[in-house]
Amino acid sequence: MSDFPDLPHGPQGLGSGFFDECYNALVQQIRAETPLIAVHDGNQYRPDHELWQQWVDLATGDLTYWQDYALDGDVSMIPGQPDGPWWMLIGKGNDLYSSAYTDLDNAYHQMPSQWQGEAHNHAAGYLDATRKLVGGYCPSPGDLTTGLINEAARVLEGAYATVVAFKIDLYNLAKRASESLDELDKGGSGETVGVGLIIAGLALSGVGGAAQASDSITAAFGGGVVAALGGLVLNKGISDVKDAQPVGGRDPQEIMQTLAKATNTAQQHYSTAAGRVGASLSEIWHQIDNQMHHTMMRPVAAPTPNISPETSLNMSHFFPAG
Amino acid sequence: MSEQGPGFYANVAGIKGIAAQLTDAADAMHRRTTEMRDAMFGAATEPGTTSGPTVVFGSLTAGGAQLGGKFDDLIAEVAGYGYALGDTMSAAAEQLHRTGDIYAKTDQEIAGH
Repeated sequence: MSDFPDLPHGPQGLGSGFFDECYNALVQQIRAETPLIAVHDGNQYRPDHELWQQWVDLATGDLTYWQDYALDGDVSMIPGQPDGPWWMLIGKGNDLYSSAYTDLDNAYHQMPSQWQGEAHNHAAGYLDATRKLVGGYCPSPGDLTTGLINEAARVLEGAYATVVAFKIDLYNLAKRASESLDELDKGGSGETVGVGLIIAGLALSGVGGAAQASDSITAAFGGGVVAALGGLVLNKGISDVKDAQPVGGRDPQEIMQTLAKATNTAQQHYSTAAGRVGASLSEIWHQIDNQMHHTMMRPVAAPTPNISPETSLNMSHFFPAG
Repeated sequence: MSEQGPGFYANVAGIKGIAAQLTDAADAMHRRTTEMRDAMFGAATEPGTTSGPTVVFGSLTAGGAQLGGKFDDLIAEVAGYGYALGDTMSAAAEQLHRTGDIYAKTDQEIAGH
């Protein structure tokens, strides 16, 4: 049996060190399962180490293609593990609601008892408009369905789920390759088996697809990933593992060839899925940018007042009505 | 439009109190969004290094490389908008303080007449 590692308990375990372990285990198996051929040399047979090395190099060359993607990006580098940075966002949003929004709301409601008149109307309109913007930014605690902070948290989580799904697929493909090499070790034929790709489902529908794949990711981690993927888990069935890729073969070289081919398909799906999820990130970015530059009001700079009891006091230049 | 007349009422201390409350709200907005940015901003980058947003999402595929950049951009935008809301609340608080000052000055001038 090989030393191929088990899937870690959470996505934060899918770091570079883990994939190095997978790679090293496969290299050992390739070396063990590549036969040392005896060649006729004069009157005797001798093992051809040069030929053996060539076969090993051929197989590890294909394995390196898998390794390049396994080590490209590291999901363990995301901060805020195990819950993920999106929960930090939601937590700060809740803090903002209970501090900034509540203070602003109180100020707005107290105003009529302290001040009445034309200028008050302008100031109150301004405060009301600002209050609504802040409310739309950080909705009340416990409400995860609305508010820009929550929307941003959801798509950031989707982005993370996408890269985690890709890494799980790379693990599953390599694991199947290891199993196939184990079969050779037992004298078997290294049967080719189809390995479904979670990332293929995500490539089809972006953030929505990330939600659909969550059960599959959950199954892969035995529940540990649920905390990290949080609200993305929508309890949908995972019949969406798509585009099964055949991995296996009659010798290490053939097995690694199928692994490289399957890796290539998975990376294409990852690029597509990441592009779609990235479009969702851009959409919210533009929504926020639009609010910041076009909807949000700023008090008009007030001229130096020249007030006397005889002059009127018009505050409209201070607070444009909301 | 004259402020003085029927229906007009201004409690200077009350207006100043509201301005102070608004200042507190603006401070909270600035503080929390700065905390948010500090906690999140390294999300797609290796904390404490300058290795770029592709650390988590990779750079070998076009989609992955773009996703890393967009991840960081969105975090910056979310925090930046919150901070800007804090700015506008702070500016409004300042205007309310000035308003209170104007009413106080007016009251004094009326009393001095």
